[in-house]
Amino acid sequence: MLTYSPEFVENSEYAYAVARIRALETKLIDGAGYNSLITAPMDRFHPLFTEITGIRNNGSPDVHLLLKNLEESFTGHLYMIKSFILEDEIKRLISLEYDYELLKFIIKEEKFQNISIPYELSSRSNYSYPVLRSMLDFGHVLDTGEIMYNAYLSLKNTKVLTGNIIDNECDYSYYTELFQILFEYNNAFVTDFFVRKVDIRNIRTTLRLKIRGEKRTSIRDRFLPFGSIDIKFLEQGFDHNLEGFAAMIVFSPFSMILRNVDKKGDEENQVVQAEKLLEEDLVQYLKESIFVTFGIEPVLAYLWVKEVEVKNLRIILQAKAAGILPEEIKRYVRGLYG
Amino acid sequence: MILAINPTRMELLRLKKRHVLAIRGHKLLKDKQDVLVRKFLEIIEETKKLRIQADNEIQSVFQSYSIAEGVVGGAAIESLFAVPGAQTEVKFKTKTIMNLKAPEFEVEITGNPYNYGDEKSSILVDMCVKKFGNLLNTLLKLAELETTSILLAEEIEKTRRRVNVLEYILIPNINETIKYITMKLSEMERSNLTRLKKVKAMITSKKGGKK
Repeated sequence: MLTYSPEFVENSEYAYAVARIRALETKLIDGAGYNSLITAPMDRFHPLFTEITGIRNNGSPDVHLLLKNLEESFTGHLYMIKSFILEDEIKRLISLEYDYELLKFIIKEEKFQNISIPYELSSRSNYSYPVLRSMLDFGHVLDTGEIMYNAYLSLKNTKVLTGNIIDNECDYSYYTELFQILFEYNNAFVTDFFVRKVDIRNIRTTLRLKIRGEKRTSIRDRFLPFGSIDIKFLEQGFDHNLEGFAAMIVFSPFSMILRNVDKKGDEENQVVQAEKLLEEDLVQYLKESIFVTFGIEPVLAYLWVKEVEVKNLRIILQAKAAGILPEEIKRYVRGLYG
Repeated sequence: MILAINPTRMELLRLKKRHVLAIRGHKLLKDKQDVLVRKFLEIIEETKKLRIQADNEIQSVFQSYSIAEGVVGGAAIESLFAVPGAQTEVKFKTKTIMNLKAPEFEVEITGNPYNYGDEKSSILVDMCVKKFGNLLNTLLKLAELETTSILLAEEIEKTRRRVNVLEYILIPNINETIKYITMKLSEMERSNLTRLKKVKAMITSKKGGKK
């Protein structure tokens, strides 16, 4: 019995971190909390938001200030999680996403116009914006990593550059580097999480391309080959409706999720619902980390669940400010239904 | 008011021609005014509907953007929309309504409006972009209708003034002047006749005296 083995707890490198995480998990906002926020009248919304989330706005009803504080609070959580993690490669992995987001901004800034760099990206990155920029400018390949530097060079030397090319090239490089780290680190739970994430991304992209009326061949330009679903299944499902598409990927757990989408609405709204259900499935997967008593899994899972929580709060804040009805807001909040 | 002209037969003939012309002009202008008013009311009705539609679309776009920003995050949405992918060109033409040059706008969107990556975006961002495109068309159509209604209103006002001038000033004045000249001419004729009769009587009496 692991719980009665003090040696195990002492020897486990993540005992303290997981204990902290388990305590923090109790503070995650549940469905009732979201519901109270969504249905609260505007005059009571801000005090209630502070009460439920602990994010203060100094009495100001400014939604942007709340959003800024919300992002800052997540950055704080990211730092805390990083401090729990012992492996440098995982620390790098957590912030890698933000490095590549910064890279997108750097390329766009160079090629197009003066773009203001969001502060939270710079602070969550492994580098800050000026550091990454100077490293790329002066060719510090060892510091940025070969993959990122090559992506930078390739995009810099591309003559006809669009936002689409920049974003997709950076995303491709991000996943290449990410899976390289995962291959070295060899953690089944974390690797599987990202494989699922890529699968969801590929499914979403295929469904969106179809709605935009693009050709089937456009999937090839956007497909990320790091998932478990082969491109041929996505191409075969491209011309079908959601039900038919789900039938093409019947071997995947996402097939059942797509089948559960309410077919009453138009195609666009079906995909909106599919996106939500797929993301919820990812959160459900993260909850399996509870079976790992002392390891990195609960720590990372907490961070990614927290990210979804921040997303939900952002949706609620923006939607309430825009005067959207509570029933409509519930359609977008992950883990909540009207 | 009697027009300041000489009461001659020539003037009378000219005035009668002017009167016929004024009556015909008045009728034409009245018809034009009626058509303009009818067109104006149609456009106003259409503008009202379109304004409500535009208001709803603006609200829908704003809400759609808010939800999209909530889902993908403020930083991500800034990155996604940092590079414009579509070029919008508004073409201006004119169409004629009752000899009135009204504007006609046509919007042409070239390039790829979905010029962003797939990882950080969402179907909600696509829907938002699509709604913005539709809104642009609605706003231009609304601008077209509102400008046309302003031009029509100005034209109606002008036409109304012309009709009123013809109906209440020019035609009555011409009528009055014609009446005045006719009376003057009749009087002149009568006095002429009387004079002639008098002369004739004088000549007759002179001849009688000699006999």
